[in-house]
Amino acid sequence: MLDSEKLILRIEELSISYQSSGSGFWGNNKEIVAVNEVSLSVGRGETFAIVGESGSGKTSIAMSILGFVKPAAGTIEFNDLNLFSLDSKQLRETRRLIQPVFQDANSALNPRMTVETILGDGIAISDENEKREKTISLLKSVGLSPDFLKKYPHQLSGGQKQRLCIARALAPEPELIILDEPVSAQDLSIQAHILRLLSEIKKTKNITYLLISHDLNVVRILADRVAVMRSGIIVEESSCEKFFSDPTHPYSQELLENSGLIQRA
Amino acid sequence: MLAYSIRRLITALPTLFFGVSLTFFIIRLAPGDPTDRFLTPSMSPKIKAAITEKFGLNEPLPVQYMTWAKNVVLNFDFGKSFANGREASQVILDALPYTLLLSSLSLLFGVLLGLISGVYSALKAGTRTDRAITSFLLFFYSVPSFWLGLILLGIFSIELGWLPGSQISSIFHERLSFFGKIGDYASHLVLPVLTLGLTTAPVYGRFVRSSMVEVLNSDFIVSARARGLSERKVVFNYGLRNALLPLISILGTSFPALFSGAVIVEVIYSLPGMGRVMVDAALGRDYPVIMAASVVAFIAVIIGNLLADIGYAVADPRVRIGDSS
Repeated sequence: MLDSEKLILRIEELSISYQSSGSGFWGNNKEIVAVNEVSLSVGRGETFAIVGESGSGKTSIAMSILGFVKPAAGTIEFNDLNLFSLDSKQLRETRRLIQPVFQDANSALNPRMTVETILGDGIAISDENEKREKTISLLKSVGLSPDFLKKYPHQLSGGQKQRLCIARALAPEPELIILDEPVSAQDLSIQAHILRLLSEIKKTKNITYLLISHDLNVVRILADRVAVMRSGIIVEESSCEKFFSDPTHPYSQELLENSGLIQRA
Repeated sequence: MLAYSIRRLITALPTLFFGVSLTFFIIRLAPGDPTDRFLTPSMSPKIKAAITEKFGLNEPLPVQYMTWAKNVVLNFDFGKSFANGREASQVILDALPYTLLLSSLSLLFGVLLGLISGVYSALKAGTRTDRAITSFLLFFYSVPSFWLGLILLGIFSIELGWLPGSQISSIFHERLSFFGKIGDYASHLVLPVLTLGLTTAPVYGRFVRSSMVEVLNSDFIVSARARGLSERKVVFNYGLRNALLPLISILGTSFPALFSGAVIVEVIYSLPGMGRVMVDAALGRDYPVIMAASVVAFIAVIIGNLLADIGYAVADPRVRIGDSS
């Protein structure tokens, strides 16, 4: 177990359920349990990966860390602060420290805003010149040139858009970035570039990543520790090396076999 | 943008030409005869022939068409109404201001009501409030305007006596001061605008709601919230600004309705608008008036589409028109 002083995120017995809005006008609501008493801890500066197929509950966990989904039970502590007992001002300030990067950069960027506004909205500096400098340095940190400032998202390529999303996530100077399938929508060569960029950023800025992915190749490149989720529960949690060399749970073995990363003995 | 608009209008000319020409032949091929209204069974065929000749209807169709087109293009002359001998263009020009007033106020009211209820519904999506608003809109979408018009007329004009229920102005209108005249028009327009607005609002309301729900679920809204932006900024700057884009195209298609009028409401409230002019002209086979009204309608459709395209280009950076890049 990790040293508790170095923890950035501690999730205790988190349960999330949804009311599925039933069909028909009056809607017969059914409750669906997406996450069932999940506990996990993420150390400062590490990359923690949650893997599992779609519908396993991994994105629900991410959304509740971001504060968009209220859990049915359990707690989420970020920097030893319980996220669900904060008042709205504290919550807003804490939220800035947790930033998401999504899979689909097209839907993640406001089509009516220029790159400058997209990045500027996340920077808490009022002085225009300073703000612009910060915006340019953010662009440079993700390998984009300042020429992009006046462009709109649709004028960028897929890889450039995802870099912009990463720059935007960096704008409020977060401590934790939630990477929700960060490269799944990119083709292979772009994937490699983005993954390299993410590794570099982590080294230089001492940021913690919570990586959510179904792609074990991505997990192997980025992650320090891995948790495997299935139907709302964590079935295995181990270090990255152990997971890829010696998975214990049959479901983990199945995942690895399906991804072609190990052969059945 | 200007060059683009001019080019678009020039390329629309053939559309206008074919549309108007088609209408010219179709109404003349349709059953019915403009002279019927003047005839009684006891009249001799000679009188019918005389009227037919007077209206120029004895000529072959292509000749009639060429005469009509020449007068329109060269002198802007649409001919005289068969019904009362007035200039067809004057008949249209007399009715148009009332129709523009009624339709634009109704459109404004309908769009505003739709916008407010749609946005509110989207923010409360899935809740009882959302369902209540949906039911409200569905009710007004379902009731026919003649029913709603008569019910409102019965309640507010006849039972309660709060508002006038017919005509566009009172009989003592001429004696009123300037502001008194405006007030007089306004009180006469309340019920018609309410009727038309309430029956058009649901379309916009449901449209705005679905568009807003879709936008509010997109990742850029989530990330805007995660960056701690105020809810107000998220909903209006990020949400509404994107959700309104699709509204431009339905506003563009609603534009011609500003000129064509709403016949049912005009009849219920005895308003002198385009809807009545067009229906009367169609029933009486008053060809010159039908043609003048059609030209106005065709031009309105063309301009409405052009305005929608320009609106998109202004509002959405992804859309660029013409040669500006």
